[in-house]
Amino acid sequence: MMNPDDRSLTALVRRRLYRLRHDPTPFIAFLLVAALTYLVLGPLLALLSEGFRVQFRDISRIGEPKGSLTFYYLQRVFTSPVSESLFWLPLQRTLVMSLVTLVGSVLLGFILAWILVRTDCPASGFFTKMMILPYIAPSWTFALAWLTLFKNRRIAGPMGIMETLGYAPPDWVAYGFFPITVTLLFSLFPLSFLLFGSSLQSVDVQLEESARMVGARKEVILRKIVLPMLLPALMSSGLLIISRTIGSFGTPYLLGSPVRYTLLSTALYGAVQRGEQGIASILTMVIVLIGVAVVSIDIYFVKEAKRFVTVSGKGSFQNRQKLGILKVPAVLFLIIVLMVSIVLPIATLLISTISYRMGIFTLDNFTLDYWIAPSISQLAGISGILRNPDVIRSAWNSVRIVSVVSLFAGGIGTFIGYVSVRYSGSKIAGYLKQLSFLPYIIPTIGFGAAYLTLFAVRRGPIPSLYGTMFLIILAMSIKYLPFAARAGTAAMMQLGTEPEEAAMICGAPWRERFFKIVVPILKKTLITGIILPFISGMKELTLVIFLATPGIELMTTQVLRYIDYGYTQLANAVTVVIIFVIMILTLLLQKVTGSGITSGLRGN
Amino acid sequence: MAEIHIRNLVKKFQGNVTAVDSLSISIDDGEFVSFLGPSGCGKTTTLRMLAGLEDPTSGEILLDDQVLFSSSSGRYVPPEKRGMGLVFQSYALWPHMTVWDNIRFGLTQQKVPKDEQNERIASVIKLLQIQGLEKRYSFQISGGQQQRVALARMLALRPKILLLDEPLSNLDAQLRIEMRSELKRLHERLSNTTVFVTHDQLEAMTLSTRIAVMRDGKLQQYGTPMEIYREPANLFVAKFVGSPPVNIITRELSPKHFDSALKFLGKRGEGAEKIAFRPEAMMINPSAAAQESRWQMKGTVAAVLPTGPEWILQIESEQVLLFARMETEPKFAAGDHCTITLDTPAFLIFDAEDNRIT
Repeated sequence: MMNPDDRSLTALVRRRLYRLRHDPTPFIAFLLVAALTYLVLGPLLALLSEGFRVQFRDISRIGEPKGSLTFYYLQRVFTSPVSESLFWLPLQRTLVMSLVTLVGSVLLGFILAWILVRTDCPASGFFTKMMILPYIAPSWTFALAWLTLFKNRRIAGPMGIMETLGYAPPDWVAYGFFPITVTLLFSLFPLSFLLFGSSLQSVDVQLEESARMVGARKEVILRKIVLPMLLPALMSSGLLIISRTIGSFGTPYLLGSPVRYTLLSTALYGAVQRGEQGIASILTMVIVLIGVAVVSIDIYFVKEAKRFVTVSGKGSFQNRQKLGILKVPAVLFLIIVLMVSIVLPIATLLISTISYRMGIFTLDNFTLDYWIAPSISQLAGISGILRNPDVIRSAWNSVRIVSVVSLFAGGIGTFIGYVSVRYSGSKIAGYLKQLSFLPYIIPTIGFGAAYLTLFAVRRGPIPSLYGTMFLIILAMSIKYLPFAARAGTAAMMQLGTEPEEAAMICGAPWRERFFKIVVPILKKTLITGIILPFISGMKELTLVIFLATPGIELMTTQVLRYIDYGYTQLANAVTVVIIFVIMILTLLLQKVTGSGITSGLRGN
Repeated sequence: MAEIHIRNLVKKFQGNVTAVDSLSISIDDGEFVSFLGPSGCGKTTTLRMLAGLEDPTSGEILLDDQVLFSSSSGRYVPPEKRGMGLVFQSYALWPHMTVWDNIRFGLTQQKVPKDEQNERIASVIKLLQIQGLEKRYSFQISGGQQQRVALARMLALRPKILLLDEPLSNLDAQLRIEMRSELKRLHERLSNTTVFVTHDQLEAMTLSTRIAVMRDGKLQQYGTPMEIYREPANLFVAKFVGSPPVNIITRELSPKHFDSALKFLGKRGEGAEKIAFRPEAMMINPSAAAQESRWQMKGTVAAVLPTGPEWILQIESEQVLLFARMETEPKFAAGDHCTITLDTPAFLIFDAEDNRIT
């Protein structure tokens, strides 16, 4: 053994090494801090660097050497004659669209939550489960279904169902503001439904009962007691929805670009496509800043909401309001919402993939060609998706990438949790916590663009990763890190350090302690931390739109490619497969955890 | 005047769970009555039916001559018209309102004129000694202060009846004692008829003019605290009240003691199945000194537990563990032999149905 009193340098180093081998937590902490600093802050710094320095292609236009400081891009985006179409119009549209989506989904979410939580509406459990489905499906599913139903001749591909049925939708129905708002509304209302639902459940009934005791009438109780209590949920869901609409790309791309209805995200996409790196960086910064502002306000309100947490009373007296004669209309309303938000879109997609021509419902129009034919004559000899080499390759890519991402994110999350608990209250724990939360507040489109900016060229020892699968894996892992880290930290917090310390006293080395004590105890949580990123990854489009190249197509980008070519049915078929996979995984998740997708929904 | 009469009150919940089973009870004007029992005994449900928050399945509730609820006539008076104030276990202060607004809300609902509102608020604030908290929110004040605000909120409405649903159970031990005496002081000062729900026998004993002990929705006994303690109607009441708990000797578990006690009790012990006695009734001595008029048994001291003002002794005798309470320091250590002596009046004797015979 070592002599603990030996004060020579070699002895000191030897002791340190011995300790580290015995407990490598400091080493893990150092690695995490270094890697996350680069991967989270790096992209943001890269944005600043690219947005304020002369790009190669603009040397002659600006008249300064490459790399020198410039405000040219800032000017171009905010004040130049092109700024109107480049930035201001998309910004204005984005804000208006977000606002309308917000009001719509908050109203819808609130009404649904009230019916399902506070009234004696039958089958409320079933309806609650179903209402979450639109949230599980990729958000652009609704846009795709809309196109399938309402597209007109403006874009290539087969006739939309409506047109086949004899009604050619005008542009404003088919594309632009109206359909984008409606489809986003239907994909986002579950968010406010969930938030309102849980906060309605947590409002102590005794608050209302005491108001009743002092003689307040029903509408007074609603106005003066219940609604003020729901204010935090209202603010939260509103801000979350704004953050989502600003960051989403698929829907505005599918439904906006045919009529050049550009939103911030599609404006950014355009700038990247045109190779305007400087302008793209400025636009990304704006999106990131809006996102940060929105989420910061949300955090403020969540904190404010904490004070609304009261000592909970007896839960057994959850009085549910009797619907009476409103029962039938209420159930009808729920069924209609369910039909429009989930059954209709998915049925539309599904039926389109088994019809030669969309919108004709006869037996001889039925076909499985889009799924299994070796060569489809209308589509230039492309084969059905189940035997199409492109689709199979992209599916294999998706599965490979997302598997690695879930293990990676889940693993880093676990380690962050481990370090945070071991160093609880220290600066390192605080830094890791904030760092791992940062990706959450950056809108997805901005995050993808920032990653593209950082890794497009070689920087120091780190080579350009653009066009590699590794870059997609990195970006996704970091984007999903907030959820994984939160799950990991919560689990480790719950576990505490005692079980490991007990093993330490028994003389178990670190590897034994970590893999035979910590991991087995937390198995369930860790599995959740792995499946959740997998689900998000399978349907991810916005994040990878800049990172996936024709060489590494994912299933989601494949859908966009097919839409661009006008192969509507193939795009729909691939989407159906994605939805199918996600549903199965969600069910699996529910089996494993007993709870479901709703847990781990909120950041913070 | 504020008398409550409850007649044959029944409450069945979904799935035919009977929470309250034909309860009949009368509460006189100015009384402080506690509903005491374990959780699920129906005490809170009864209180909520009194308040009008829960509809009884059948029965009648009267306040003085006014019928508040009657299943036969179908009459139902809504909570706000009953003149009752209810303080909840969770206090249920509205978190988005200040203390002042919490108290004022009810007065506004009752359309009390503004000047009188301010007057009444000021007076309850003074009464409950929460001056200086008027502008605070519930999360900015302590549990004890929240409790006072909750009380003030109801008292400002000048209710005929004050209903308290386990108001002390969320407070820590120190505050609980403080609020207990506060409640007693308030009751003595205002002499409102008060109904108090608790599972804490000590609270019920110290505060009440009468206690209603409940179990499984049925009233077990209704009487003054001393009646409940000294003359429990049945074994359940005897066991529920008193700490350390009453000592029980049964025919099956300790036949030797049981037979000897029965012999000692003679005619009084006829029909006895269980015999019980309070810890403080036991006299513990180092050795046996034969005393004809008293009953004795031998035992071994298992543990000595000093509580400060007194000592609790755990004594093992014929495989039964008994608790004794002593006011002077015992000269025993664990393992010492001792003799337990009991007087005749100390015995509580129960029949096969656990009802007390004498």
